[in-house]
Amino acid sequence: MISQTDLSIARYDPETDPAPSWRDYTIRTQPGMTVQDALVQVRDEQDGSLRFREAEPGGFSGVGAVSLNGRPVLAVREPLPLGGNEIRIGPLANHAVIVDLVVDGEVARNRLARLSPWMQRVAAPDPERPTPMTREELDRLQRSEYCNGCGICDGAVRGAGLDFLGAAYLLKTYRLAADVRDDFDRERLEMAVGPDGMWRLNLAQIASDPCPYHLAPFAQIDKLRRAAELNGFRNPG
Amino acid sequence: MTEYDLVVVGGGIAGLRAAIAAADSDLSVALISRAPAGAHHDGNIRDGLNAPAGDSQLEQFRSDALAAGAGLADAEVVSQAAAAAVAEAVATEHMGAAYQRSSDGGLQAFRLGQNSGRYSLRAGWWTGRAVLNALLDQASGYAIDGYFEWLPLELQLDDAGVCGLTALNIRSGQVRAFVSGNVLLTDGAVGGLYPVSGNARHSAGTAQALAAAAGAVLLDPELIEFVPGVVSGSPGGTGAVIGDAAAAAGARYSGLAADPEGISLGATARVLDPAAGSRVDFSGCVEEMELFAPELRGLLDDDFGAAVTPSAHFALGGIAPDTGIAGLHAAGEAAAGSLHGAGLLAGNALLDLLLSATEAVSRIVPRPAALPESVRWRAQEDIQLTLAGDSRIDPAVLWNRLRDLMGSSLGLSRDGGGLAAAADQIAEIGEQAGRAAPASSGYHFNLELVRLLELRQGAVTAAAIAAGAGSRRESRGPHRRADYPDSGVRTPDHSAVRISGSGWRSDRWAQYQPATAEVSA
Repeated sequence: MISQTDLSIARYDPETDPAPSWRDYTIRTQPGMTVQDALVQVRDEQDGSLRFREAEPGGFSGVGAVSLNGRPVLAVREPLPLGGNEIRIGPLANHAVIVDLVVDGEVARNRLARLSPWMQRVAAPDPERPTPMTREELDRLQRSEYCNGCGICDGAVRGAGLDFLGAAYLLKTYRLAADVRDDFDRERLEMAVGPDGMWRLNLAQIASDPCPYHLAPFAQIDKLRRAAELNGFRNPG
Repeated sequence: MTEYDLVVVGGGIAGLRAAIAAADSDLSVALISRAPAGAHHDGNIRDGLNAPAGDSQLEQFRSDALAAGAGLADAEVVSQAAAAAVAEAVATEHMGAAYQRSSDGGLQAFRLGQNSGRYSLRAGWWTGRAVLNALLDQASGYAIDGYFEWLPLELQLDDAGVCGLTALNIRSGQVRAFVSGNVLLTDGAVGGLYPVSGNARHSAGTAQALAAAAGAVLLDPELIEFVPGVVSGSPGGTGAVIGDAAAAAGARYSGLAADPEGISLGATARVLDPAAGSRVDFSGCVEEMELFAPELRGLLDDDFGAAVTPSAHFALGGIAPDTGIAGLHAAGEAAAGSLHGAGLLAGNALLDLLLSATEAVSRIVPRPAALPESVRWRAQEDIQLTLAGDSRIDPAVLWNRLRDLMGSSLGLSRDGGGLAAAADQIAEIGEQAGRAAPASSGYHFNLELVRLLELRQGAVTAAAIAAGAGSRRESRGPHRRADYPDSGVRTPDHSAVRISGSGWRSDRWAQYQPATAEVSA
């Protein structure tokens, strides 16, 4: 059941183009195709200059987040909307564009590095033994330790401004704060309570979960806010 | 030019673990990774980490690993891994990996897949990701120079051995020469050479290609583990696998998991028959599928089943333990370390990535090295020449040809005639790739240039796989020869291939300690 489908893809090379533009393509489609399948077909058969990060099938490495009709999605997991709907594939929102659909993930990574995200302890652990931890303590952090930095949550935040620390950053803050093995909670909380931090998200955002891996980053950020309040921090806004 | 004591190639679990171990030993380290930071497919490991404790578990682990290895697992390596596993598990726990706990607060052990004992740790349903993230976070606390989205190009040798490596900064298109007397190769995944794989699409066995080009011997490159994959009929002709793990989820509810508590998606995938046309029943796990592999839903038949096709999963062989080149080291999937032999035991992939990395680093001593500036500009000139290559040759077509060929002749079903023909075609693809130009010009984040360079590397690795498969006249583990279906009694026997003057030379080579257990077909 092969048919033809039109789609538009955002094209932009900052080195040669004055501004991003949309380019239209017509591709062969069939049920079961993903957004990435469409991009691969365009690249391999029509326009070798189209640049995007191709992800492994299954999409667990978190590569290749794009914006589909304004919504952040993982191209490799997202079914291509068929049946006459408009299809516009652009770069992930809230990220600097390197070229076409390739965005700069280093900005977020460098921000994360400022968090000093390694385990920081007052006393060194016994090198022979695992750190004792209850199942409840484990449950608090385990889901958030899976974040692969795909950028979807950051792409889903609207109107937070360019100086916003980012949802992935705050999720990592939560993950470390929730970990009984780490003793650096207060310092990391202090870094996340400023005007660029955790209170930037509005309630509607907190209620949504755009994470393709169901890690509920915004719900965890809400818990982080409550932890901050318990520690005497107040919403500066 | 900055000089490093060690350059690690590959930023996945093995590469990060090695870089951390080296920094712990006060070595100056650069880490070069084709993928962006953290976007490595070994983070997809779903089963667990073997950490046998106590005599009975050690014995269960040893006997399971030797049986899984189908006569090729090295008994001594298996014993060493068994002895070192708990300490390594504790080390990663201290770095932040949150493994499941027992009611007394200690680590809880699970039984995975068909393993005979309860000796594996899990960090929930996504153990590999938990370990990868812990390593990535830990590494950021060290003075490790990370070069992410850089493509390694060529090892540099002088009379004494390794003296560095050239690599392409994908973002700028500029080449840099890294000066180091030690290079540790870890990026050995080959799944990108196959039409169907859950490996990164760019996995072209870069480590093996670089090592082979430098004259190193590869052991058992033909031994590649396959798992069941589900494929969409993409009109592009390059079928996309949609979820090894989801296919395995079907196994969970098909009663194949030996122990409901120890259920592991990756491990159960390996007990399913991945041969083309087998059917996996997903009817028991529709809910999980919606969560973790929503794109799979549209591919199921009315009874929630799907036909599976072999998905290239893990390169069991790789660079020989003794490369014969001073300063050249291998770990992780790039190395033929022979914990695995001819089969992967559930929970051993992760264990081997970690242990082979720390073990390789423990043998590294700084070696003086120097590189003339001309190395860098010659490599940059090669890039220029590639960009100005023959634009009538389409690299995308060559890539598809190579993948189709690997799937049809070097997949789960192989025979002598097909292997010989495949070797010729791979050579031709490699030759054409050597003359082709990328479909896109310019230096700035030119992924078409990168894909062409990877195709050249992939053709080298593919040729090694074909040479190894041609020399192994038996069926063993995932290597199934239609013309040699019965291997009879299995004796340790490694294929060894290296590039000779005009092509691939293959030998039978048995340097490993023989496995104690004889495993019958």
